[in-house]
Amino acid sequence: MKITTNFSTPVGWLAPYLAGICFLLTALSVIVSVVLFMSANRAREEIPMLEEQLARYRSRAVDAPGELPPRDKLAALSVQVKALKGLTGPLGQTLPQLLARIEGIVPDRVWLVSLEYRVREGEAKLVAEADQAELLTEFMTGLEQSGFFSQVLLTRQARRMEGAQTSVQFEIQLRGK
Amino acid sequence: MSHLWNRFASRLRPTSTSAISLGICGDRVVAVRVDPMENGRCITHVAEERLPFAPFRDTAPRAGDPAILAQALQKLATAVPQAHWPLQISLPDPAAIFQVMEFDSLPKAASEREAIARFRMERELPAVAGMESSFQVLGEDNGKTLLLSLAVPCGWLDCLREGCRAAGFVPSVTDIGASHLFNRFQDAFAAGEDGVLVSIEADSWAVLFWDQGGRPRFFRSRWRELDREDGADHESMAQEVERLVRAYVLSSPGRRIGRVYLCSGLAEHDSFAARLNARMQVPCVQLDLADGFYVTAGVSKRDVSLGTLAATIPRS
Repeated sequence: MKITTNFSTPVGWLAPYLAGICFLLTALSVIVSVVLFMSANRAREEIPMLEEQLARYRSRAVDAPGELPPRDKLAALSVQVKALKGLTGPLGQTLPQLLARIEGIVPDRVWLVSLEYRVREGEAKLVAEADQAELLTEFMTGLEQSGFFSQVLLTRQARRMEGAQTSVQFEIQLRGK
Repeated sequence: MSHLWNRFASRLRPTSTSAISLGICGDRVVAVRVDPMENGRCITHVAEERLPFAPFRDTAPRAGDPAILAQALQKLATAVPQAHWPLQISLPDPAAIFQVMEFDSLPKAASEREAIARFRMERELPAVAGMESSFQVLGEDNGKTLLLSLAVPCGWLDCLREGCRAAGFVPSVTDIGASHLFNRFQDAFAAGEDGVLVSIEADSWAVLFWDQGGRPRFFRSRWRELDREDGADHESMAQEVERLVRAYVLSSPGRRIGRVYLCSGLAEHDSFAARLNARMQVPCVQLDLADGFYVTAGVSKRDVSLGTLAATIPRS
């Protein structure tokens, strides 16, 4: 039996614990390294397939146009396109614009019965109905004074009877500016 | 689980390593470095500092002693740097009170065990009050649990610790020289019989008894006079050893000393051995501590005390 009395605190008593922790950390590092290595290998195996896919997408790409025409020629073409659009496109305003403008003009107790709009000609034909003819006159005056239309023309006027109720209908032709 | 962990931990420790020992012998502090060799150990560095006082000789250090000791240790640290090697300190044997106590039962918790042992020691030996103790459970004998208690003056221990801290020394073991010697010669002791180790240093001598189970049982140590006459001193020591052996044998039935082991670094070793042999009626075996130690050229181990040299063997 050896004597083990000691008046110093041995400094080495932590060594086995530290060694154990180091061993565990090393084991953990090895496991992570193996996982990373396997993952890298798998990624490397996927490279040829991905390159093949990339080549396929590249072959599908649209060839870029060759040289563009000179700037002055492009400007002339742009003017021509605008002129063609002016000839073939709608006159003045689109249908939503027309509806928005009429909505702001139509007085109370006047109803729109129908609206026919020919975009290319810039012409619209609408039928409005009211209890009194004065209201429709007021509506037409509003249309004329709005400044949105070059022509406001009353094409037809009719009176309609429904039981004891009577109403007046105006057919108005509009031409946009 | 604890057993498995201890086995694992022991495998992690290096089997052979360089070691530093620090010993106090009289008014000298000696540092020794030993490197492992194929067939033993090689003493590569020996450094010594002389002090104007003998540490541990008085009960407590005087006011200026700690600073002087710290300065000496710093010089030794320069000559024999510890680096990462283990450092073991050998204290003078007479500085300690060595007591083996018998208990009907002892608590398992070390703190409770030490509190009980300390209480009993202080009751039996009032001098222990100003001392620091270290304990070791020695096992059971005749239904009693044996507890070894070693007490050393706190003042000197603190002084030594401060000095070591200042010098950059980090001791792993601090024990008396007799403990280092007892551990060193474990293989040389005959198994299954009581024995006694007599160790003689330049400034002190000690007697350590162990029983048939190899457990330390009894210890005595004395300072030697500095202005002594060798012949009378040897005769006095031999007489005291004989008296102690008789006391040990008679203290308990069945005790019989098989061999007396003598370890001495003295030049007059043979003279003392002859006196001891004449008095003892049992074989006196001389142990050579230097056996297995080689010395690098230019280094002398002449002034290295037995305890200091034994302390170079790391305690595993």
